[in-house]
This record gives sequence, structure tokens and C-alpha cells, in this order.
Amino acid sequence: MFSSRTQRRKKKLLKKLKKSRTKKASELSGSQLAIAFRRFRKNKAGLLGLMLALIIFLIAFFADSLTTFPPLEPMGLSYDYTPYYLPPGTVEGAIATRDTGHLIYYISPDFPFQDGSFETPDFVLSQRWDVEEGWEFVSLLEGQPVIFGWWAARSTGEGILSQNLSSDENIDLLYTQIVFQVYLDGEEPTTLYVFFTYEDGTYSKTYEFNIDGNNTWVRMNEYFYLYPFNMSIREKIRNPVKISFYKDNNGSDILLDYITLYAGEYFQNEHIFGTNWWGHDLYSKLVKGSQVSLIVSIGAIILSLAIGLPLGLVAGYYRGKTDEIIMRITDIFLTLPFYFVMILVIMVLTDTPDLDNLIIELGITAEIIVVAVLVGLGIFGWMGITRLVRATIFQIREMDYVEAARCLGASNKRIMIIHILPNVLAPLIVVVTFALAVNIVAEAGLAFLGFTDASLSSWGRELEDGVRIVSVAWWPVLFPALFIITAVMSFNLLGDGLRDAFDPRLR
Amino acid sequence: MTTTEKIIIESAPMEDTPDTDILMEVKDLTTYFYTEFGIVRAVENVSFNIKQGEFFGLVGESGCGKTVTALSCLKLVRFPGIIEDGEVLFRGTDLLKMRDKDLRKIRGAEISMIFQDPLSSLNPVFTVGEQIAEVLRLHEGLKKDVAQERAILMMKEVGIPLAKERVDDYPHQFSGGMRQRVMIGRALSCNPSLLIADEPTTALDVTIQAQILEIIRQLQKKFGMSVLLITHNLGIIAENCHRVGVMYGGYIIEMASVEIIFKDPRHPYTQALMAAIPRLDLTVDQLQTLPGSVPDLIDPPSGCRFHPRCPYAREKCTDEVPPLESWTPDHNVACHFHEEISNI
Repeated sequence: MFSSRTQRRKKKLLKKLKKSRTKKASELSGSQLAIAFRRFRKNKAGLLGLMLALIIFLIAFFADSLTTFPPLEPMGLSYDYTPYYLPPGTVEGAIATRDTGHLIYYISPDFPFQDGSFETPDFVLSQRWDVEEGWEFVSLLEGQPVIFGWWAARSTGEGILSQNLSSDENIDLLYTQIVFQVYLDGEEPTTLYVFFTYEDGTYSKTYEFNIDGNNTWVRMNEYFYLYPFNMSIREKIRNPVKISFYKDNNGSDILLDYITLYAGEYFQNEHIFGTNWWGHDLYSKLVKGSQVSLIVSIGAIILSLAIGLPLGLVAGYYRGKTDEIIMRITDIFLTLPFYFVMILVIMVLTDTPDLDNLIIELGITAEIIVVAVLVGLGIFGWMGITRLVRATIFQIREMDYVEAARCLGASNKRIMIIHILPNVLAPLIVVVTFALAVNIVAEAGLAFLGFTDASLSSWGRELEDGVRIVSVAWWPVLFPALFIITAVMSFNLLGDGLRDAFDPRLR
Repeated sequence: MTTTEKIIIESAPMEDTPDTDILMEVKDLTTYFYTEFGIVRAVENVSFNIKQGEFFGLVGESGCGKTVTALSCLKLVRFPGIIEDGEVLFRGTDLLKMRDKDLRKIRGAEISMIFQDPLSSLNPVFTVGEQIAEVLRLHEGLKKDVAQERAILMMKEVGIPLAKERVDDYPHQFSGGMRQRVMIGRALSCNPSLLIADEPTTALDVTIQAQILEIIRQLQKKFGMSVLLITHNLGIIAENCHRVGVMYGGYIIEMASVEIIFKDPRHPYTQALMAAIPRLDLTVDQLQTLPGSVPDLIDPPSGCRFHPRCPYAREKCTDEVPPLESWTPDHNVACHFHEEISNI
């Protein structure tokens, strides 16, 4: 009995030894990076971080197909609108426009509709519209009324939506957005009247827009509903809608350049994380928002690297006066308070009317603030990289292999890029991973303070929205916070794992 | 028969007389280091020449300026080191006056250098094959695969077993001796006419030392190049070199063929060095030592830098720097009283 026990122990030990020996033999081969990766594979926390980070990246990459509701918020809904937030798990129907990026309005049992009537449509689309099919531009002649609607679209091919709508039975043209530019030729400020009428004259509605005469070009987004919700398709077909534009109430004409109309479709889905204060699906907004958060933080790091890496290389390699100058610039940047400068920059950006015009003319829509945040984070994030690279190069350039390369006729540029740079890479990877987490938090922080784009959602922005109603609803705060925490934690774990893998002292 | 013995028998330095054509001539080379503590006069008025196919040794204790001399020859001294004066004529052109761009074409292709510590003189992030191939690509403009083939050949040449399999290995997978072989292969891959070997064997153990030197000697014969061997090991000098320069405190104080240096040294320092070598044919209780220590090069002694330690020092030694004079055509000594000393 005794001997069998020792035998078993011996076997166990031998097995262990065999395992460890093979491991060591394999650990010796390959480059520094290969060894580091092999070490990293054993680090469970690091692997978890990598997995979470990958999941977050995948979510951001496939955000468009992962969203269950159109994540962007409707604009111009100031009338007949009351805030509501639905708890997680609520099923809701919605109308998506043909441009999947744009949602017209949700239909829900407690939809604050004036006549209060609602009926679940008996048709549900199996697929959504492609974005490519989204915009329709139709130029209008002066004074000519536009007739469009189900009937018009199907039968005649005249009017606006004829091409794409003609074949699809399931289109529900409940709402439409009209974007138009009005050329006023330097006239006084005026009011534009838009009339909606059914062909048979049973329905009519008027909207007014105030146009500032100083701006010759006007961009307007307004949402109109053409039919009441309880109207059947047959009725809709019988009632094409006529839209006419007039300069005043009496029906004098106005020149309209183009008009854009969206067709809507109905679908029904569950709000997995509930909705936010505005009634938007939180899950979809967070998934879509991960794109902004990641693009901003990664873009900022790329910018930081583009600035910090060459500066660090040059400072570390040439030393002396060059180093002195670069390091003092670094110090100056380190003294600037990031948040105050960013707030200042964004306030200037948003308050400059000329800039607004420029943005409109250049066709840049609303992402300017996000770009500003990205650039700001990049410009305030390079100092650490420069310092790290410089310090690492101070060590590396004293190594004999740098001298050897010079002896063998390599130029300064070649030594810097080919011989020194790969040796800086290992610590750099670690720092970049940590910086990623820092940038996500900084972006969220700025978004939380309100410095973000109105039409783009990001995690920080959702959090800010949520905080407003935290006393009545917990989900708009919890889920964005979870996203931020997960992302930051995963990048930190990843960074920790990489640092352990690259640290020669642990080898 | 051990390798070391074999080398001693095979070497017989004076048997094959090298070509008398001068490959590189160093004239009055002076290099100072401007440090915070003062000016370090590391190399002063050093002149020597290396002939075609010659094995020239520079010997001296640490800090006497051997390495700085070698680096100055290739204009590789970095700030705060400045080459103050002198000429380095390589095939008649002054390397010190060349533009950096032209000089880079000479480094590695015409004049190569290997270092003391093979552990740190290879870049850890590249395979050895890539590192040898890099030199070929840089100087001969070879394509990647061709250069890789040549790298394998070169590795075979320097005696790395299984060169084909090991070409894709990283430096840390090699032993010290093997790494030094790789360094030699790297330095010699473009077939240079001068190899500067800066203490190539100091970091290696004795058997590997012998092997490395053997390889250098073989390749030197094969390619007909010259070698500037820097060492503090008189044994290595005796085994390999044709001619030797002895350095002390930044000066070359004696320069002669190996036989003369070992049998008939004229400078008191060289004499003291020789006396300090343990000899197999004599029984002594205690080896001779030299009183004092190496001069501080920031504040060097006036006149002859050796005079505070010299048993023959007189007043003239403290005032004047002795020039490197020709004693016999093949023997130069920098001592005011070398004639008298030799008579003692």
C-alpha cells in the first residue's frame, strides 16, 4: 500500500516535470513578441480583458446590424411630445424611415397622440430598408404643388416616391420628413407656409416656418404625419396627400430647390435595456454609441502616437538641445488643464455663427464636436508617450547593437526606425492600452458635461441623459455605466496582462 | 593537443610577412571628451599605420584610450567626445573629413567593427539572419532572399553549425561564443579590407576565446584583410599580431613588431608590463608590480604621462612630452631616455 502511494506520487511529479520541461523548451524559441504572447496566454485576467475588449470592438463594428431600434433621435418633434421612459423588457412598435439611421416616431400604447387612437398595424416588415435607398431629391417648380402618397406612388409614377415604392406592398407612408432649402435672394425675413391636404379635401394641415432673410440658404428638418394612425391602407390609397409651399397664408408662391421625403415602415421590438428620457431604445443607442466612444478614443490615441512617437524618438536619440526643447514643450502641455481647455474650445466652436455656415457649406453635419473631442484628447495625450519613448530610447541607445549598427554603416534614420523603434514597441503597447481606457473615460466625462454632438450618442452622453431622471428610472444610468466600466476594465486588464508579459523581470 | 597550443604553433607571426602597402594611416589623432568634470584627454597625438593583410594590435590597460582610438578612426565618437585633430587616411582619403553619407558607405563595407560584448551587440528583436542580411542589403543592395542566402553562407563561414536551421533564430537563443561568431559574420559579410576588433574575446571564456580568434585569423587569411585588434590581453597579442602598439594614458608609447615588444621592450612601462607576466620557465615567488595607478585623464601628469610611476623619471620627464621616436626602423619608442634605459 505504501509503495503504491509513493509510486503514484512519483508518477504525478514526473508528469508535472514533463509538462514544465516542454513548456520551458517552447518558451525559449521565437522572438521577443512571440515569447510575450506565449506568456500572455497564461494570464487569465489578461485573457479576460482581451476577450471583453474584442467583444466591445465587435459590437462597435457590427453596431448597425445589432441595433433593434433606429438609434438616432427624432428631431423637430417639439409639438405633441411628452417624455416617457419605458422599463427594460417593454415591447414597442415603431416606424422606421427608409434611411435606417432616421427614426420618425415611436408608436406605443401610451403614445401621446392628440386623438389618442392607436391600432397595431396588421403588417410587419421582415426587412428594413437599405440606407442607400434613403434620400430622394426632387426639384420643384415654382408654385407647383407636389402630390404624393400611396396612390400616387403606386400608380402614376409621378411625384416623389414613385420609383422605390411602386413594388412594395408593405410600405406604410405614415410620416415623412421634408428637408428643403429656400432661396430668398436677400429678402426680408419671412414665413414659409406648408399646406398638407388630401386629394378629396377631407384632411388639411398647415405648418409655418420662420425663415431668416439674412441666410439665403436654409436647411430645415421637419417631421410631418400624413395620415392618422388608425387609417387603413385602402383609405390611404384613396387619399394621396398634396403638399404645397407658399410664402404667405394667401398662397403666393415660393421657389423651392428640393424636397426630401422619407417613407416609413412599421416594426415591433423589445426594449432590452428600456428607453431613456427621450423614449429612445437604450440598448440601440449604447450599441451605436460604442462606435463614437471607441472611434474617439482610438482616433485620439492614433493622433497622440503620431505626435508623441516621433517627438520621443527624436528627443531620445539626439538628446542635447533638441531633447531640451521637446521636453519643455511637453511640460507646457502637461500644465494645461485638459477639461478647461476642451470646454473653452467647444464653446468657441459652437458659438461661432460663421463656423456654422462654413460647416453647412462644407457638408459636415453635426460631428464637429466629436471631432473636436477626438483632436483634443489626441493633443492632450501625447506627452506620456513622448516621455516613455524618450526614456526607453535613453536606455536602448546605449546598447551595443545601436553602436554596431552605426559601425556597419546604418544612417541615423535607419537606426532610429529599424533598430530602436521595434525595441520601444513592447512598453508602448502597454501604455497605449491604458491610454485607451483613459480616453474612453475622458470622452464620457466630456459627454457627461454636455460636450457632445446632438445627433450622435455615446456612452457618456447616455449617462448624462440618465442622470437627469435617476430618481424615477434606474436603467438609463445603470446600463451606460456598465458599458463604460466594462470597456475601461477590459482595457486595463489587457494592459496589465501585456505589461506582465513584456516585463523581463518576470521572465 | 588543445586548440590554444595549435594556434601558438600555427601562428608564428613573423613567418608570413604581410604586404607592405599601407591600408590605413592614423596621424596625430587627438580626441577629447568635454564632460562636466573637465576635459578628458582620452587620445593624444596617436599615430600608427596598418598595412595590407596585417594583424595590428593595440594593447593597454582599461581607460588608456584604445577603444576611443578605434571609434575615432571611424568617426564614431559621439558628443561629448570631439575629435580635435588628426587624420585617418584610409587608402589615401581622410575619413575624418568625409561627409557622413560617404562615410556610411565605408563603414561596414570597407571597415567593419566588432565589439566586446556579443550579448548586447545584436538587436534582440531581429533574427540573426536578418541582421547579417541587413548589412548586405545596405551595402550591396541585395534583395531579401538573396541576402538571406548569403547570410547562411556567412554563418557557415564563421562556423555556426546547422546554419540553415539557425538563421531564423533570435540572438537570445545563441550562446555568447555563437553570438560573437554571428557578429563576426555580420562584420565580414561585405568582405571589408579592415576589421576593427574591439576586445572581441573579453566577455568569453578561454576556450571560446581561442576559437573566435582562430576564426578571425582564418578569415583574415582567406579574405586577405587587415585586422586592428584591441585588447588588454598580452597573450592574445602574442598569438595573433604582427605588430603592436602599446598605449598608456592616451598616448602610444611604444610600437614595434610582436617579437621586439616581447623580447626587447624599451619603454619602462612596456618593460614593467612584460615583467608582470607570469612565466612558465622561471620560478618566482611574487610577480613584479608597478607602483601607482592609471593617470587621471582629466588632470593628466605634465610631460610624460608615465613619469609619476616611472623608476627612471627625471626632471625632463615632468616638463616635456616625449615624442614617438624611431629607435630602429621597426621600433618606435616614446621615452626621453630610452637609449639610456636600454643600456641599463
